[in-house]
Amino acid sequence: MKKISQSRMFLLLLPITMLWSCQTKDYSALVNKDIEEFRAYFTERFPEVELDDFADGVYAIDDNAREQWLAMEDFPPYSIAVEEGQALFENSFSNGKTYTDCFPEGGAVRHNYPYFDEQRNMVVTLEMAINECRSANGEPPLEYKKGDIAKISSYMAYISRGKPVEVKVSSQGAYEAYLKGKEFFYAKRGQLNMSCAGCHMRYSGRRLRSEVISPALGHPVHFPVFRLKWGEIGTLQRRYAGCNRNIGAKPLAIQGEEYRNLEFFQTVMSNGMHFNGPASRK
Amino acid sequence: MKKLIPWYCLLILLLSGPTLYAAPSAEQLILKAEEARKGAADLGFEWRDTATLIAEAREALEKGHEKQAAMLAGEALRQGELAVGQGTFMHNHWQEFIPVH
Ligand code: HEC
Repeated sequence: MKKISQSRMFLLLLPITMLWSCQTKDYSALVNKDIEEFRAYFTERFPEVELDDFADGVYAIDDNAREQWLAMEDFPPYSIAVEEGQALFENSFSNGKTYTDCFPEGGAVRHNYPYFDEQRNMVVTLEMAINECRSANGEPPLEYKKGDIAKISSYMAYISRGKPVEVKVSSQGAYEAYLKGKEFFYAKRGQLNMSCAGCHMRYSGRRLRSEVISPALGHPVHFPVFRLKWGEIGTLQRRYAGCNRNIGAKPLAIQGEEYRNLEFFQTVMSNGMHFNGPASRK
Repeated sequence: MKKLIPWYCLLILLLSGPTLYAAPSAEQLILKAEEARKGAADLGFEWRDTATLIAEAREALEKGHEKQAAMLAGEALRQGELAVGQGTFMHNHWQEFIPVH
């Protein structure tokens, strides 16, 4: 008799507690706590660097490299990509419409991405939105890593410079995507058994062969990047693939769920900074 | 006739011995490696070179280089199994690897 009433009680309480916990879970508070700890890691490690300067990656922490880089910024190698991106952006589709029919403010909307789409229950990145605009207008999608999509994205980043990063995580779905991205960032993988955090937190500022490893804080805010090694402009997720390959892990699909969640997590960690892409890197 | 039965048994035993105790064939190893690779991929933890090793093992086998094929497939299998272990472990323990300042 006692047993029955206990289990009944439990069944009765279960939905109530579930409902209660759903309603009271404050996702942005959880995320803000993560941001605070993540940021503190870097501000303690590099106390002389201002928050917004982390957007300059390795050049925020390595004076020698910074000088060379500043010299390069006089004639930034990404400027051609921005020009070409503008032309592509303003070009009309075969139905007569243009990207401005998809993107308000003349395309100065870099700061609205990535965002969590509640209806589709997924993270949408800027590059993805560019391709979705194309297919909505009957155009074939662009290849994701480089080329035209990186140019269009560069132009949109350029005209959005200075806009604040404020990615919202305000639902259970968004929080789950965020957590998956967070897991990807901290989980060790590949033959070398290394995580993003292993290099871009623990070893940030240290030298790896010819390169100094950048702090992970602000990673997404300056992309796309014209990389001298690539000799062209490329997207953030192209870089993800390269870093995965370097540690002996098979890169995941560009713009697949894993990398979109990782970009979501990394951009949330940059909340409060300002977009300053595109940029040039070694 | 009846007398022969134990001899038959012995013969069968002798013949089956090598197949029971022999190392798996290159073909078996390739199948096992491919299965392990898929398992790792499902976890999102596939290693960079595993698929290449399997492809190379298949090629070696086609050319009749059984021993080389077995070696390549064996390495792919080792990688696949390690990657599955890594992915399973990390999925449950990643929080422990968040660096603290
Ligand atoms: C073995 C160490 C290592 C690991 C692990 C690693 N990276 Fe990198 N990463 C580098 C190096 C070296 C560079 C080039 C120098 C630098 O940091 O700008 C780089 C560059 C980058 C850049 C470009 C930085 C910029 O300013 O443009 C991004 C973004 C990046 N990595 C993200 C990641 C992510 C996300 C992961 C995990 C999936 C990861 N990396 C894993 C070593 C690593």
